[in-house]
Amino acid sequence: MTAAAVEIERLSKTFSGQRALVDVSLTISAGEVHGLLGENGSGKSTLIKILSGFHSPNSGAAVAIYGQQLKFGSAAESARLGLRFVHQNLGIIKQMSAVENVAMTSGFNVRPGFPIRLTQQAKRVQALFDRFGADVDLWTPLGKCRAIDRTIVAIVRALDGLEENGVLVLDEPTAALPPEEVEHLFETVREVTKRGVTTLYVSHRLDEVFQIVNRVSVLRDGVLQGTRKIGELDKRELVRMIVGSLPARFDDHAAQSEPRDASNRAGDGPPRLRVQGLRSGTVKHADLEIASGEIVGVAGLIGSGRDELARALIAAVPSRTDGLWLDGKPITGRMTPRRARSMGLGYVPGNRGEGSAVALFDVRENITLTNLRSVSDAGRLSRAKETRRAIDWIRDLDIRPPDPNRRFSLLSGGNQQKTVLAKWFNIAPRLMLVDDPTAGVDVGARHAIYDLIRAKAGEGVSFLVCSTDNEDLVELCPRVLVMRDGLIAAELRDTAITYEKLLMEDDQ
Amino acid sequence: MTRENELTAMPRETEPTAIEPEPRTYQPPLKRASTSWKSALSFRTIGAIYVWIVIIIFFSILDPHLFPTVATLHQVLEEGAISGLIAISLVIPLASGEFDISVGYIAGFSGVLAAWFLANTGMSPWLVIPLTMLCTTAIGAVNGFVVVVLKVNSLIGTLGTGAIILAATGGIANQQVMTTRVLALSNAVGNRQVWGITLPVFVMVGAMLIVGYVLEQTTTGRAWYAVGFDAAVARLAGLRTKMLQFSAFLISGLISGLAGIILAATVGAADPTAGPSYLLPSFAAVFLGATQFRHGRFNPWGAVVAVLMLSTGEVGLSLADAPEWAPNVFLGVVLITALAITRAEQS
Repeated sequence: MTAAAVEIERLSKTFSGQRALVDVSLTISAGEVHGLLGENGSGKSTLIKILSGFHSPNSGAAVAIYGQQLKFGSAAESARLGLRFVHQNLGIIKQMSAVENVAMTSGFNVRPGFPIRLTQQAKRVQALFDRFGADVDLWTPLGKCRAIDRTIVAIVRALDGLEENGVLVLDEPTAALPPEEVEHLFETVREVTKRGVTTLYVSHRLDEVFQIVNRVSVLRDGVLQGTRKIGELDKRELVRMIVGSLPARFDDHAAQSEPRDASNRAGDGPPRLRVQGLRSGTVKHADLEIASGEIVGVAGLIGSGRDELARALIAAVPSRTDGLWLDGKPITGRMTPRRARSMGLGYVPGNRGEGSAVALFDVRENITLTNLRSVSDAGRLSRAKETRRAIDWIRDLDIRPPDPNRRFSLLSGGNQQKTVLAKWFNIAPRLMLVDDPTAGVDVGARHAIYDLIRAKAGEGVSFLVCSTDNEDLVELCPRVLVMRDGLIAAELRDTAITYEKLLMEDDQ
Repeated sequence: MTRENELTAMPRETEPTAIEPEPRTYQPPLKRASTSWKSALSFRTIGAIYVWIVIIIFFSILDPHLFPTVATLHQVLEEGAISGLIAISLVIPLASGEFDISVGYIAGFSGVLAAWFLANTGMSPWLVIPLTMLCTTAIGAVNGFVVVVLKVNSLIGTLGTGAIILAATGGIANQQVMTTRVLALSNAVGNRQVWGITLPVFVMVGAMLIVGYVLEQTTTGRAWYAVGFDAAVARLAGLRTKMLQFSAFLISGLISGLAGIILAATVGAADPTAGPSYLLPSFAAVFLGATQFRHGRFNPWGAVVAVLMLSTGEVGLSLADAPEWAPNVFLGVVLITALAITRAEQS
């Protein structure tokens, strides 16, 4: 690592008085995988957008790519110097094959008036795949491939046309990947690196950073906190760099060994929820029992049933049960999401994805949507009641900015997730079904969400946390069910719940 | 915002006191009165009103004797009443995320059906009006069935029902303009005046107020918007999404039926080909209206302002002896300009 692939000097950016980047100077060496970390709003995106030519920095900044000065504000110029970007949403059309998706950006192989020459097109794409060691079927629509295949196609497509020294910028590449496919991504990144590409790797997930990057730079409030070799850091230190101080309970090992709060498991009375023989598309058979105030985790790979368990319970997907009891009372008849709500079941979808909140509604409207009756008189909405209710939740959950009239889509990931939680806390739920509660939120918000869930559990609300992020399960759940092939294959308790154990269970 | 404060402020499981919800006291959010006024009057919020004013000034200068008169005002309002009603009928289906292409055809059908009742039965207009509206509401139910139960895409589904309605209209009217006893209808509603303004204008304003109230002040209205913006969220939040969308079609059937009756009453005849021509301008007005006042939500206030703005231009052009193609050019230019400016303002 001698030559510098990217040299950034005195980079500052001010948005209408707000300083997004302050005098950042940083060097990315040729051939390394360089991590870029920071919470939402730390300036990561701004830095990437300056590199991609979307924003221009304040004057006085200089960026050199392999020794050549970057002219700011032009995407074409960035691409010419070898900067390539793969964004979180990949820009892949799922109905199209790898060949077509690559052709979309590289151009179709045509002569005017003749049909597209698909064979030659395919050969070209195959050559590109070979060059970067990618192995994805050329003709299957990418929607039918694994998520990692889409990511690989997006990466290789971005690298198309690269002469030699390129810089690949990966923005949250694992956000949409199930954990078992993350290793494939690392392989692809390593392959690409072997072929002379330098990678800037932006991620929220610390574990990944330790596995893949050589050096890491951390931004906080627009200021570079330092660039360090990853070998010199432990997770604790890295978190300290990112958040500025150590969250109170941030310590994996302590969390694993420390006996969990026994009060979370109410022993008396009937269980909050008992389900027998729950079945849906991917859930083959599940029996569940959750005590009041208990936080139960569910682990499992994609397709194991873990990803559908919560939705099956509230019948958001077609499902059946042999029996369902809530606080000891048998529930008969057809379940619907509406019925689930009236019984006090709240469902928070994963990664603030489909069904979580109305993006174009404001925070107030989203929070009250589950319980409009409580903020109305005889069908007439009371604006005052609504606002009061929203403000109460905004306070309780520390949603920022504390503005009930803020449009949901303008909130940061963590605050969006808090809003979705507030919306369900607003029905005074008995049981919350939560998919991937911390996907795509920053470290600070992650711990805030853990604390919220624990606090609510302390008030007697039960939680079923289905997560692809083992940190959720280790940190939060005294009991974890492991799903495999649509069945609950194992149950882990207390100290048995460790990262290693969860990975081993998944791999069986 | 300091991270330390945020973290230390969080409740800890080791501190049971922190779990107790704190007593809630209501403090209103910080109001920025001056900026909210500015925002309420900004081009982004009420651009169509500024365009409207420009149109009025333009024609007043062009034709200072004929245009800025009370007669013009009446004409604008009366021409706007029918389009306005049809536009209002579209607001709730669109707010709930569904197109209803059939409203123009329903309006045409409604006038003809009312005329048929008058010609073939001895019923008084006051019986014919609710009976006809009941029939058009039933047509709305068919639309709802096609879209909600059969799950046909609403654009195509209501295009299909629209074609059938048009055929039925022609059949009932025997492809002729019906006039028998329609004058009774005109005397009942079409020609009545209050303060020199005809009853249809009041009907339109009434419909606007009712639809606006329901959409913005009631739980049902909020639920309609929620379904329209994101049906998956609405369903998981426990709303009756199918019922909401079905009822939206009932309302568009009801209001467009009313529009058809008033059209026949105003003209004094039921023309089987009259309805469909109102569809596109009304649609345009609703979409233009959605950019007004409520930043992207379909709303009756914006729809009515857009209709009146467009009808002002049309009246102005006809007073200025503009050629027959001019109103269409005007409609196209104003629509695209207004939407483009609003979009530019928003981005």
